[in-house]
Amino acid sequence: MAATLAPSVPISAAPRNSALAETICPEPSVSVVVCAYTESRWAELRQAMASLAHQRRPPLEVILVVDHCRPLERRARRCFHEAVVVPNQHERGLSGARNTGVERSTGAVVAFLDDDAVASAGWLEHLADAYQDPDVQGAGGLVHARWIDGRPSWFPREFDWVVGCSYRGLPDGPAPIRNPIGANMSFRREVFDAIGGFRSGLGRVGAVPLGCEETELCLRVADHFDGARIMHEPAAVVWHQVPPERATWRYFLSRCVAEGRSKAAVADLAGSAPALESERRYLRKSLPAGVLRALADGIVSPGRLRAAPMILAGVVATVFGYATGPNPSSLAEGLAGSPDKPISEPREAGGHAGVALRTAALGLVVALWAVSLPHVALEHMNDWGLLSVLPITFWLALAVLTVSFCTALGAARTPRWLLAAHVLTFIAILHATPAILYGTLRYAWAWKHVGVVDYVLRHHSSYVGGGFTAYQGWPGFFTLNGVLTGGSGFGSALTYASWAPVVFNLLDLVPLLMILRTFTADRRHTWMAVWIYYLLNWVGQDYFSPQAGAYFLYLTLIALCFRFLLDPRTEGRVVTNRGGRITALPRRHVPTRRVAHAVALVLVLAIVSSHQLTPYMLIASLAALFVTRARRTGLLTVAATVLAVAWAGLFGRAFLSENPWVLSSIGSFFSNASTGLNSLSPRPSQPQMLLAWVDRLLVAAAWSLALVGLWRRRRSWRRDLPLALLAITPVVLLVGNDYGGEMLLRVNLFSLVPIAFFAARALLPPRQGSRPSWAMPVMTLLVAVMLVGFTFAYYGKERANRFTHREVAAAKWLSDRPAGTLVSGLVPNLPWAFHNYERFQYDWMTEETPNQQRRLLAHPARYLASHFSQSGYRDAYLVFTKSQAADIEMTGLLPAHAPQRIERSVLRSPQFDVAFQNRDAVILRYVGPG
Amino acid sequence: MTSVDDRPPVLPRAWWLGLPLMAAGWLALAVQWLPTTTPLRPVLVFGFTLLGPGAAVVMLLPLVDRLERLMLSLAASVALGIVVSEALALAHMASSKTSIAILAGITTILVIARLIRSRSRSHRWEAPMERAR
Repeated sequence: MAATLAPSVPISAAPRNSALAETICPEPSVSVVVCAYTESRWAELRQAMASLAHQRRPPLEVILVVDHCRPLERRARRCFHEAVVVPNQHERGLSGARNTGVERSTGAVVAFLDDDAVASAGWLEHLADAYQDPDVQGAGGLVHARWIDGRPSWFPREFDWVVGCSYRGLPDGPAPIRNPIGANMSFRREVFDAIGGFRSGLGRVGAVPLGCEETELCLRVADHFDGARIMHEPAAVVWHQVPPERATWRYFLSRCVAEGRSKAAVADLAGSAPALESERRYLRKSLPAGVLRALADGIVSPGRLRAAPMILAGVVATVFGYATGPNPSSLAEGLAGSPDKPISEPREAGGHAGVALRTAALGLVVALWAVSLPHVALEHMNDWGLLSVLPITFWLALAVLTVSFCTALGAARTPRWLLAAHVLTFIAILHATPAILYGTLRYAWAWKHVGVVDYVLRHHSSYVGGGFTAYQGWPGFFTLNGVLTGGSGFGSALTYASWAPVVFNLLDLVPLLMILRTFTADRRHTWMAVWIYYLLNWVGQDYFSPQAGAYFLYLTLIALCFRFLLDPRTEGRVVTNRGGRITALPRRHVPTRRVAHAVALVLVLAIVSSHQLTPYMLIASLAALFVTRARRTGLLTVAATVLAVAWAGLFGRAFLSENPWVLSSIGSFFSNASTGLNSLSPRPSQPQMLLAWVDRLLVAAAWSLALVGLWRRRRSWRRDLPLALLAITPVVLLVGNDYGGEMLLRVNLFSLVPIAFFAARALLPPRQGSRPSWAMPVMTLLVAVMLVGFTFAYYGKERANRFTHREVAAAKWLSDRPAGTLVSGLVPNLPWAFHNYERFQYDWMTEETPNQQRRLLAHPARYLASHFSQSGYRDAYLVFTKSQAADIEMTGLLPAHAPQRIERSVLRSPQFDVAFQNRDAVILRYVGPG
Repeated sequence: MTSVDDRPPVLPRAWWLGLPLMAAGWLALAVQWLPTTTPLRPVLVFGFTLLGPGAAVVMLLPLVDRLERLMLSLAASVALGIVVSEALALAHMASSKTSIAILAGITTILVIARLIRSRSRSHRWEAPMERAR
């Protein structure tokens, strides 16, 4: 034993550069990580370090990770000069310490030795031998128990795993195993690069240690490396110290129970069939043999007889732990923060060239984008919208960005900030481009919403009459913008409303990341899902609207439910610590819970009072989570339902009585669904017809990909259930209403996050190591195709959505007309109603009955004149704008050339005078027959 | 490596965050009397209204994840802003000054609650967890 050797003996003469080491020795270079947390085991630690100093095959380096113990760290630095002494950079605990060690190590293989274990001289030599087989991703050796007070005679050798040692029943020779023992194990570096390190939080449930981190890691290895093997190498021996307090039957039984519970968790994580196969074999063969052996030994030595009942007691205790242990789902939920990867991310070092290259690519993207903007000739925009005028440099920028992002995902060590920078650039290009190019607010409804804010500012109230009850009944978005507009001194929300798509997409990114990170800790998966989310978010509900605001709050509330409303058994403790993914609220701390409940209620109230549809989407989602017991959302469901119904009853009555279709379409699922499909395109132009099909293809492709992804994650279905429910519940709302023909679009919006999550899983190729060479290019290509689909769907209608400054000038002139004026036009697709909204009555020709439309088209001027003369308004104006004509041409709401014919007819009529005119707009005043 | 305490996250230091939060609220109110063209007005009003009250709420919760804190700061601010402004609008009293004053008041109360709590040790909940290999 090397106990007497000074710990400052040189540990390694091997080169510190792993690449160099690889060229010198055919076997992989091995870094050894030792984790220590207390000075009380200083003597044992010295022995462990000394044993490493006397390896026949010296390690490349020894990294001693000190787990949040400053005195030990100082002492270790003084004594172990040849070891790299580092503090644990992660959360307290063995997993965090091991991950710190992995991050600091440079060897091609990382071996782990416990601080109370001593390695045999040939330990590393034999471990390294195992890696000559390229399929071997990990290897462990034999762990002999060093009983300080001697081995108790009743302690069955079959149960040596209780004290963290090799037990009878393990293979005698080298053989593949599911997982090695933590005190003596090693893994290839690429394992950590590809799937990350050890997962925290797994090793405990309540106050009972479970310690199946290595099992969980090995299950992930098996999952991600096709044909991967973990080898048991009995020649690689370490001695693990067993203190007297562990040689008691009480410890024995408690560890058996804990092991049973950990097996329940492992079975849940990996599916019980593969996860527990070795346990079944052990139960079938090793334990009966052990009982017989104990009985036979008892003949020679009666004391050993006691091992037989202890085996049975151990089995009973383990089964008891398995059966009564943590609800697998609750544990899995607690762990859901890191199902694929650990808390610690693969380190950022080592990929400097890649990082520099991608940073340069981002610079190039921004430069290309900036160059392209001045060259957009908006006046030449045709039925293909922005697609027809965006220069080649714009498309190049998107192409470079897509390739850079996909390759960044493929690389093992792309830092998070770089992925985030890609996403932010992506959002900026997709959503800031129209705002920068147009210089005016895009989309007609956004103008109307600005008008409602203006109304609140002028009247200091959300309702003093005016007849736009949908907004007045659910005014939250507008009143808040009233505060922002009035408080900032802007005077009108027009100042900033153009930037709403950028702001809302950025806002949504935060809860989106939180939701995704609840279900995967795999950075690749998270960011790919984010990317796909933005690719699929073409429905255009990100403009200055209550829907956009309520959607952000909805996502946040869902994220909070996912992360906080865990099973009661998981609750009450911090499931993972700093850098972790889930923070359960402490159950016992009443003030904290009160604050949390109050926050949730305020969020619900804000959603309920600011949008008509979102509360019902929220209720459906919360109810689904509650009914399936995926999260404890029962109280919140009730609260949301009561508040939503009460609000609609108290403040939304006017709207509901004016719009009986809201209630009448309840229950007509197919009719509601088909309304959405048909209303997309009544008589569209050719390009618009194609664009509508692109929309549908995009939706179909997304759902298909999501199904593939769902299948690929089928083993974690229990963990993914809440997210899958979120994809389905919005569809159920089709039963409820057609939402003015828009329900399908809204369903698409609300199921976007889960769809993006599962679609990302389908798109992501296998991790490094077993990835075919074509996988990354194919993924990039698919993402690029989806991007093209997005640009078609999102930019394809811009000819109608963009308003010129001349149209805005006309609209401003109109908004200053006296109260009680009738404003009529072809279609409400113009900058309208943004000021003095309630002063005017609006009348749109496309909303006439088919019969009225026929009469209008036959004799436009005569029909309109008679219409105005009967209306009884003091003033009546007819507005013709470029964007109205474009809208009609694109959607086919009126026959081809109808706008021009109507305009010409009215211009010739003596009953109408031109009141305002510029190149893009004409406003005519009805003067009557006289 | 046995028996490592997994201590609960320590709540953020209340003072260095709380005092600027309170100040931002009252400053956002104070600038309402400056001319509408003052550049400080939009910065303070947008900054405080969309982050301030929520940040004060977050101070009362044991959140350790920065993104989580940001998310809740934004969402709680927006939600409080909606609820406060809406209540005033329903009472025909909608005004940015009153709304900002109420939000600044809420922020101040929350920060003071946090400061009081940090003076006592009662906020430290029990989460003793032992882990061992």
